[in-house]
Amino acid sequence: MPPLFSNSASGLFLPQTGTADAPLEQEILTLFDSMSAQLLRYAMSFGLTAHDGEDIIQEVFLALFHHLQKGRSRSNLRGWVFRVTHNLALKRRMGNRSRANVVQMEDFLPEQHTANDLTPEEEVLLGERQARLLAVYRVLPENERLCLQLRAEGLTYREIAQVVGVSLGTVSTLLTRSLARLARTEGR
Amino acid sequence: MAAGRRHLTDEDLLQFLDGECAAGEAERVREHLDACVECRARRQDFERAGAIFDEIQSAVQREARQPGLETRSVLRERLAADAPAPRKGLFSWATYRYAAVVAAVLLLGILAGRSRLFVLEPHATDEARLRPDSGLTPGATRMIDLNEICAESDDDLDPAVSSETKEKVLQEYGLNEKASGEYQVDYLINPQLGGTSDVRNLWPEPYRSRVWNARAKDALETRLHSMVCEGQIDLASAQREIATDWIAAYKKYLHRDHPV
Repeated sequence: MPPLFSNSASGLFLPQTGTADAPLEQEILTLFDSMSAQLLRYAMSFGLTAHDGEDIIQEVFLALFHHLQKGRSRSNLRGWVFRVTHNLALKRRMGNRSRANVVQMEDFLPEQHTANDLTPEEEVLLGERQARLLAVYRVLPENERLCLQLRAEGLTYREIAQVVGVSLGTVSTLLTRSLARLARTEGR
Repeated sequence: MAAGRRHLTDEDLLQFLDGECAAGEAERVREHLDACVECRARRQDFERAGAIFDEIQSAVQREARQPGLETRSVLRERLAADAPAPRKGLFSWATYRYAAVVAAVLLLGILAGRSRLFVLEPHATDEARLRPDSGLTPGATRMIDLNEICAESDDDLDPAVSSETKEKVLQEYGLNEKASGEYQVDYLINPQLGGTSDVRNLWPEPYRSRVWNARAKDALETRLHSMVCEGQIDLASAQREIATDWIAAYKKYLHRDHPV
């Protein structure tokens, strides 16, 4: 059976190389290599371009560097980098909106993502059933979608709560609601 | 127990499947599932939805864009630029020489019976200096976006102040060079709350205060920062309260009359 529920129980992700002389820069680059794709995906799920997303993850790892350089806590750094990505992505999105003089509301309404929105690549990639689920997923309220995505990235509920800025109970409710919705679609 | 017979909620089921149940809870869920066909069917629905969602995720992830190599190389350059220059040995000859001079001066002082070197200044002065002079240090802030201060985890609670700035702040407070070792030049409004390193936002905080010291102020700063980011207090009020009377703000927001 494939691993259906992929949350890891451990909040640790730092490879403990144990080499005292490994410079912090090297450690940050190693972390960048292992996490940047995940974080870029997360940043782009705020509707940002890849260019903005890449800018953001660069800032995230630079902030991580300063955080560790000052000897701050290393516990749950995975939650930490996702949280910083989340906040910077929100900030960037807000900045982009205020820069655009005319705010086009339809850009921000979930209706823009319908099943027809699948790119040709996605249509080839996904079967009919998956395409239907992806369409449902895309119209979920943002908080539900983000929780679901973070869960798929392997974060624990506690980490998700910290990243999204809601209580532990809310994470559980949002996840349950969204998965129940997906289950209903699937059951049709 | 009646609770054992009640159907499981969707949340119970999901938490169980995700391994997020509280310690004793998993056993109760397992027992219920063994006995209840209905809940077992709902569990299957969740499993199926989860499985398909994971499939979608991995398909999408395979196609997802990887960060460009350029992003990595720019990051590398920026890290190198921000990394501190290699430090010299901690105890260089200059340090030893300096320490020897200090020791000699102290020794002479003791020999001369001038033990006042070790006597603290009158307490009244200290008490007055637990809070900054609002005329000299009204506090200075910059325009900030909440996301900006909430994105970064609490860093930089103590300012890196140049020796000229430190001297200027001490002078304003009528403190001479001799006293400089007894005070930390600290932010009144910390940068996490939008404070700047402007002289109007810096004041000499006595190191030796056992109660209302820099550590207590750091605790207040951290507390206010999280309250602002959680929307429990607006930024302007937090800035005003810490700038007006940080000790009163400590008592109010940490709900204690004295720091622990």
